[in-house]
Amino acid sequence: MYNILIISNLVLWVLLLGLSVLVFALTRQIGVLYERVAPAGALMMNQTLEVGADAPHVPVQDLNSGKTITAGQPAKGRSQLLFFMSPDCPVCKSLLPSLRSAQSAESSWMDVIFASDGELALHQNYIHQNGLEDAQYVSSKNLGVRYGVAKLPFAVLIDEQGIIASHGLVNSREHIESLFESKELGIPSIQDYFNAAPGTSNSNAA
Amino acid sequence: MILSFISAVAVLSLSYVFVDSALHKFSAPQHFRAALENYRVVPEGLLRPLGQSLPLLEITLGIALLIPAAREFALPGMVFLLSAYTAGMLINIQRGRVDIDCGCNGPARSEGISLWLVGRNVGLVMMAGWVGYFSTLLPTSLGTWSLALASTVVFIFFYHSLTQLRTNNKLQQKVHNHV
Repeated sequence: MYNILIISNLVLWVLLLGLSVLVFALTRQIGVLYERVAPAGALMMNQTLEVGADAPHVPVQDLNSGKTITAGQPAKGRSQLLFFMSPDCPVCKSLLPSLRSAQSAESSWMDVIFASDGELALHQNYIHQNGLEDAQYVSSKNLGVRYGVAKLPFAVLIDEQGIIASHGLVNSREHIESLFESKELGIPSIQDYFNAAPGTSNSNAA
Repeated sequence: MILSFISAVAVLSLSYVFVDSALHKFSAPQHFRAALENYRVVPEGLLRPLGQSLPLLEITLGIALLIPAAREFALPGMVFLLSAYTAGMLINIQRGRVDIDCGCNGPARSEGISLWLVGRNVGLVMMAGWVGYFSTLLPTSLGTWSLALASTVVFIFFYHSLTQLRTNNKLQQKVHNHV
C-alpha cells in the first residue's frame, strides 16, 4: 500500500511538471499566433528616404496625357502614391490589379503614379497590354535615383503636405495597404506598431 | 515540515525571479535604460549608473539568497528593490501612464505597468518576509530540498505562463484595435 502511494505521488509529480511545461508552451503558442495574425507591412529598406521628411520634387512627363507632373508634390489636399515598377518584373505585374483596386477605393484622397524607366516603346506596349491608359505613368531614371529605389516593386506614399508618410518594398496587396495604415496611424510602419515596446519604437518595415 | 518546505520553495523561487530579471536586463541594457527613463522618477544623472548597477545588484541578491551566510543581507535588499519598483509603478499608475514598459522582461515580452504587477511585487515581498521570518526553519534533508526544487520548477513555469498571458493580452488588444 505504501509503495503504491509513493509511485502514485511520483507519477503525479511527473504529470504536474509536464502540465506546467504544456501550459507555458500553449500560452507561448497563443502569443506566436497573435504575432502571425497581425498584418504584415512593406519592408522598409530604403536608405535615402526618411518617413517624416519632405519628398523630393521631380518633374516628370506622364506618358498617357503628355503633361508634366511633379512626383513628390501631390495636388492640393490629396496624397500621392509613387509605385516604382518595371515591365519585366513579374511581381510588379501581379500587383497591378491590387493597385488599380486601391486607386479606385482611395480615389477620394490619393493619386497613383506608376513610375518606371527604360525604353519608351516597351512602356507604351506595357500600358496597352495592362489597360493602364487612364493612369498616370511616367518613365524617369532620375525619379528612381532621387528616391533611392534599389529593388522593385517599391512604393512611396506622400501625404497632403508633400511629406513622406510611408514607403517600402511591396510584394502583396497587404503590403500596399500597410502603407495606408501607417499613414492613418501616424507611425512609420505597421511593424513599429506591433513590435514597439510601450514607450519605445524602432523602424524596420512600413 | 510544511513550513520549512514552503520556506525552501520561497528561497528558490525568489532567487530565480531576481536572477531571471537581471539576465533580461543584461541582455537588453538599452531597453532597460529606456524603461527606467520612462518611469520619470529617476534624475537624469542617475539613469546611467542605475541602469548598469541594478541588474548587477539583482543578480547578486538572487545568488546571495541561496547562500545561508549572505541570506540576511540579501533579504532586506530584495525588499528594498521590490518596494522601490512598486513605488515607481504606483506613481505612474497615479499619473495615468500605464502604457510604459515595466522593464521587467526585456523587449521580447515587454509589459506595461499595472496593478497586477504591483500585486506580483507585493507577493514577492511577502515571500521575502516569509523567508526572513522562518529562515531558521529551512529544511536540512535532501528529500525536502528536492521536493522544493520540483515545486519551484512548477512555480517558474506558471510564473512565465502568467507573464506570457499578459503579453498575449497586449498583443490581442493591438490586433483588435487595428482590425
